[in-house]
Amino acid sequence: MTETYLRVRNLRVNYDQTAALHDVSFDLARGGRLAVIGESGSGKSTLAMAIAGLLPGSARTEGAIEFPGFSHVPKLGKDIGVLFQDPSGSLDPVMNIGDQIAEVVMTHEGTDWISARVRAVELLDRVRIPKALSRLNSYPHELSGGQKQRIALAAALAGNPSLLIADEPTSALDTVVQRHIVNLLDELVRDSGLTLLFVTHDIALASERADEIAVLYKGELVEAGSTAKVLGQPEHAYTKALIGTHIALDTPRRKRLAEIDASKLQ
Amino acid sequence: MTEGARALPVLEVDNLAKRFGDRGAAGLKDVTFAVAQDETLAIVGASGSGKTTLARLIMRLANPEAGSIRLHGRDVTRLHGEPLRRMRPRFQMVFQDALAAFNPRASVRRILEDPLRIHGLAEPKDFDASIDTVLERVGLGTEFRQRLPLELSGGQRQRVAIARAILTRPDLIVLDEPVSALDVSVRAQILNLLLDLQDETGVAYLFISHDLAVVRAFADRMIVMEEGRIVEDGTTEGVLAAPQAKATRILIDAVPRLIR
Repeated sequence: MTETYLRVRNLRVNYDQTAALHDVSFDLARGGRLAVIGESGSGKSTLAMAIAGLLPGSARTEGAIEFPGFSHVPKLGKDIGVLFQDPSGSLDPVMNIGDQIAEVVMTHEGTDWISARVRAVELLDRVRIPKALSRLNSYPHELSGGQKQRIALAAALAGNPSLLIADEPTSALDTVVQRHIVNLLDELVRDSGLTLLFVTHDIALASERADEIAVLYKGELVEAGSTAKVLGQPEHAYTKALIGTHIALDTPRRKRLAEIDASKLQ
Repeated sequence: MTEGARALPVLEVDNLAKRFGDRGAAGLKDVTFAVAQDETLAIVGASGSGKTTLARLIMRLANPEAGSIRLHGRDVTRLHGEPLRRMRPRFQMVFQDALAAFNPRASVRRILEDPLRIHGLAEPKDFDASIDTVLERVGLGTEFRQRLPLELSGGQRQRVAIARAILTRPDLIVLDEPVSALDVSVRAQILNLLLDLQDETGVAYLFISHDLAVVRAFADRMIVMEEGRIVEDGTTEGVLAAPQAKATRILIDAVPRLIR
């Protein structure tokens, strides 16, 4: 039997008077790759941030988020790495990238500055930054969007986490760069046996990369299960509609594109 | 698109060139193509291939080093000042990030009134009627008149951007990644709105995108750019079915496939 890494039970999150998540429950197996799919306002980022422990102070949370394999509360940066959509927002613009990564290593591994810089080079190598050593003194603005996301990934992995939470990690990138980052992410997750929770609005991307899919709609978990089951035999009207809006390269050209009729979803 | 329409190019770009290094933007070399009335031409390419530089030149927001841009046969390449201003209503642009394209303190009414006033398209007493008509046309009620850009959803903002673009009854609209930042369900609504508007008015679209699946659903023809050059062009169906250039194949391979 597979070991449960993460157990979410009856999770509710409210911002002021607004409910962002209603009663969400699911399990994620150790080493599993879960895609959380939904549109703006579905609560998908709220779910990811609740698990990361990064909800704003104004959020009111009920229910349970448990990590059965841990004897302590998992520590952000050490046990859980987080990758955000906008790498410019997660990187410090006035700190060179070597220091940004080394700082995470020093904080969580307790190593000295020299070893941390050596480890930073290794991490830059791992995320395929060419000439890693010479890049240590570069600043984020000198890098392209794809490279910045690689650096953010290196920083997220610097504490050797067992869970990586990625919130739309490739949505701001063009499709070719997206493909490279997703391939890299996939490879690192498999190589290090990481458990992955990634948030995406792209159902095709989820179908390629996830073992499990959770579909959120207006704060409700409307469907969850293996990728093959959720996409092959979708049960909820919203999942079906989402699949219906997908445009493939061989979709015959029609007069109009399929839309989601919200009135038919309730 | 009919053969008749093909004979009437709205936009003709000939041997357009722009040097690299203009604030880090990609350059262009020998770019030649035409867009006909009622036609959608997609420009695809990876980041840095020159798509946005091309759009800026066509919109006359930057000057080329060589080549020409003609709108309905009229050379606009070196047009400046008043003559350029008089041509402006004929070509419009919709940006990816409408929030950045609008004055954040201007209401929707103000955003839509500006082109009417600046280009003298209506008498001041008719502004409200024109604004209400165009809001209606893009699927927004008149209650949106007093809203500010920040009070709109991404899809609503893009509808306002489209309303502003069609107010001047343009022959050509450059659509720079207009749906890349939108949710899939909203994306379909906006693309359908654009398709309907083209049906009604025959407006030509230059559709800049890196998403080949959307291009497949939306555009008649496509050109693929790499390092400032056109490396492939043809009907969207033809290019995607049998890509010739390596850059095209890389773009095609990058599209996530829905595996069921």
